[in-house]
Amino acid sequence: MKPAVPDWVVEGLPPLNARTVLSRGQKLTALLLALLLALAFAWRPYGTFLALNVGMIVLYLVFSYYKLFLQFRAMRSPPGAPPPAVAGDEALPRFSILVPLYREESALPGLVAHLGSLDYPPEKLQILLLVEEDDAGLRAVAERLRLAPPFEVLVVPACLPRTKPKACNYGLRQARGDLLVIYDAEDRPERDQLRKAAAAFAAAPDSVVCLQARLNFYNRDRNLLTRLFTAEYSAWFDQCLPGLYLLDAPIPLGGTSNHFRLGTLRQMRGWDAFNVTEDCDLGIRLYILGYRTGILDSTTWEEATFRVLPWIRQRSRWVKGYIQTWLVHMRQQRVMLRDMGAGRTAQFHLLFGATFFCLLVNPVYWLMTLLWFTARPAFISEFFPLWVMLAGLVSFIGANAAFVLASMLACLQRRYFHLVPTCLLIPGYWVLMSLGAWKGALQLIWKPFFWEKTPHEAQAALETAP
Amino acid sequence: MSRSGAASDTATARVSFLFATGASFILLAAIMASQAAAEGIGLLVRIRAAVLADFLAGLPIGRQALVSSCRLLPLPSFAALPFVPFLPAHGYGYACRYGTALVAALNTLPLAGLLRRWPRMPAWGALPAALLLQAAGAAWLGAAGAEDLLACLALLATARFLEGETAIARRALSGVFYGLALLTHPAGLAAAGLRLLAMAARHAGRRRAGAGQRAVDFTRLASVTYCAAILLFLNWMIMRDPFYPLRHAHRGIPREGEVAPALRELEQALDGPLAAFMPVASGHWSHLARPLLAARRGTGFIDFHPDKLHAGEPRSPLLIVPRADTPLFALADVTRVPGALLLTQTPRWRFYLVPRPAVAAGGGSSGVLEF
Repeated sequence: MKPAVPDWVVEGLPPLNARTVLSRGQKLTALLLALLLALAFAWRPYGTFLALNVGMIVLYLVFSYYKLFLQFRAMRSPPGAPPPAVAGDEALPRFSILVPLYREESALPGLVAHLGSLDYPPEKLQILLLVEEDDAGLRAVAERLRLAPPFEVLVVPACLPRTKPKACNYGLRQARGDLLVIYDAEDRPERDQLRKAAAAFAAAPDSVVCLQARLNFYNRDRNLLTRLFTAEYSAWFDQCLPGLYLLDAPIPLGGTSNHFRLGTLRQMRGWDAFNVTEDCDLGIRLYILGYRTGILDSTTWEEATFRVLPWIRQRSRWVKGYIQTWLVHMRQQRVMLRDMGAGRTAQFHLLFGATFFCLLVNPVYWLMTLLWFTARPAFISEFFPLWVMLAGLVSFIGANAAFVLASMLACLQRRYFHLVPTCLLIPGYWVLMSLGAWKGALQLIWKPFFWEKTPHEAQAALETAP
Repeated sequence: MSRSGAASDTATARVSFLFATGASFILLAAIMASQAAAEGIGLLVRIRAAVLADFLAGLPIGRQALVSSCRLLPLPSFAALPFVPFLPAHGYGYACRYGTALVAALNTLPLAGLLRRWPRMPAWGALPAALLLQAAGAAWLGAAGAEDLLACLALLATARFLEGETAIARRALSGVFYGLALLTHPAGLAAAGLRLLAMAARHAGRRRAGAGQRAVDFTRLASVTYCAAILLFLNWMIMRDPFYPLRHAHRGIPREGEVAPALRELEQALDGPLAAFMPVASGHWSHLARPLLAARRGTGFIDFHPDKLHAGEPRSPLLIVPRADTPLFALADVTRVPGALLLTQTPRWRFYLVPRPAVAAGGGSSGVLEF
């Protein structure tokens, strides 16, 4: 039985959404593909496996080349001069800040202090703390803090789905700004970020309806995991996303610090409440409708998950959301091809489909590599004829090293010099990524809308934020 | 900068890039092809072509030859692979030439960038000067049969160009090109080594090198080390000795004119009293004697061992080794063969009788594992 979902959530959903994991057509297609594959295996097992192997290696090579191209493209083009600031506070647009919160009592005081210190006229600000109805602890802390405008506590009805986008959509209905931004509880945006966003929106054409700020971590030196996580974030937010921007490709938004033109966001019905990476989905929807996302040259400092199991849980949610997003937009292939063009549709598939697919398949190839170096079983040699072996070797020796190098370069660019040697350990981090991917993929079957909440320490964040 | 302005700049840059790259490719390919047509393919390219053919035929000697020499480093052979599908097997020499041309041409723009930093170079003159340098290099080195040196120099030029960049990440990227040069030609090996020494000296001299400089140097060091490690790793996997290429690193390379007389002498010897034996060559020179060996149902190895021979061969194996004072000795494997007896010698060659393979039954060939 489908869980009860209130009407306001259903009515607010975008036409294509993740509430249905697989459409009927997708189920039929999947079934047909599985059948064809089974028949092919029964008919020509060797040929089928070889064809799959060749396809996978080609995918690896294309995906690696694409990701590296994005990074190097961004490195070649340093950010241009910032747009001129908006003249006079009175000319600044009204800004609504949405902060979805759930059981984050310890983070609230620091968050309030930091948001309160943002460099933006308070009369132009509306800070909506989105508190869940059943989160009595957080509501009590909020009451104790005696919050005054621009802070407002908005109680989100306790209902399904228990996701952040549902809370954000509820907040969107109450937002009164011209612009809107999302922050998480542990976020520490640079104090002038709102002014920069306002200036960037003023200078940008109307088609730019979203700006993604760069995300990075204030607790990057906490342990090895946070160092590697920082290297990954630096590569993604400082290089890959700017690379996508420079290629005029769809940009998967990054969780928090997305600044929007509020009117357009409302027209688009906000976020998909059933998608656990609602931000990525929104980035694609924006693009298909002809809107664009820019990159804001300002950083929001977050807390990196520093324990392995919570990290895997967080990653599983991200990968699950990537799969959801890919499946949702696969239902409108024709629209994508028509509105985005073949090249950008291919980039969408690389960004979403190939990302999770490679993460899922990686362990199989690692195992085969290990087997080949240790036991050299004959079947591996059979499945890797010379040209396939050569391509596999390029992928193994070249592409993997290039990814490590790209992480090192990302740290250099961020001036995290002490993290550069740590990047040599990043292949171990890929193992964790694949574990998270498998967890997410399996969870999509059993608990598709379950939100893996990431615990945060949130202690002394205010003091440690740069 | 506005988006349309940026797009227009990008389009202009793209056109210039395509023009410059296209011009470089056409020029280099034309020069190399004309060299090849005029004077035939040089000695090293001939060896490379034969190695490539063996490699693509899936023969162990191809894999071994590809990685086991300091003089014939693997990158130019890999660079030839994209051309292979368009050429017949006897045209692999051209694939090798175009491979090195490809590497060189890909580095024309950085070379132009490097020249642009020269104070007396007008902005418009850098690209023509780079093309001229590449063309002169291709003509000169191609004629001298040292195309891989051209590719190596082009990679080193890119490394130098990146070292002078202002962006820290681009400066660090230079290590990759030193590493690639190291896999291209012994000169690259020397240049990468010297660069690392210079970095070490800088750090020793300036104890308090900035954190940024240390990180850049670390990235460069990691890139160069990784490329060197690839060579060691492949040798460990294929030759069972990571340092195999260093065994013959000190020896030079024979000149084109020295090979033909040596092979004629060998042919005469094998057609005379040694005709009853199965000729066996060991080392990269065996690729030069391929037709000669094939005509006598002989065989070649990179590092010969009696257990690698086919047990069903009725003739006694005869190991042929160039004499130490002859030019082809530079391309020979001189690992001591257990049980080999000197049978006879000529002014340029020694002939050893070697024991039959240890494996007798089932037509199996080898007690020594060959990758």
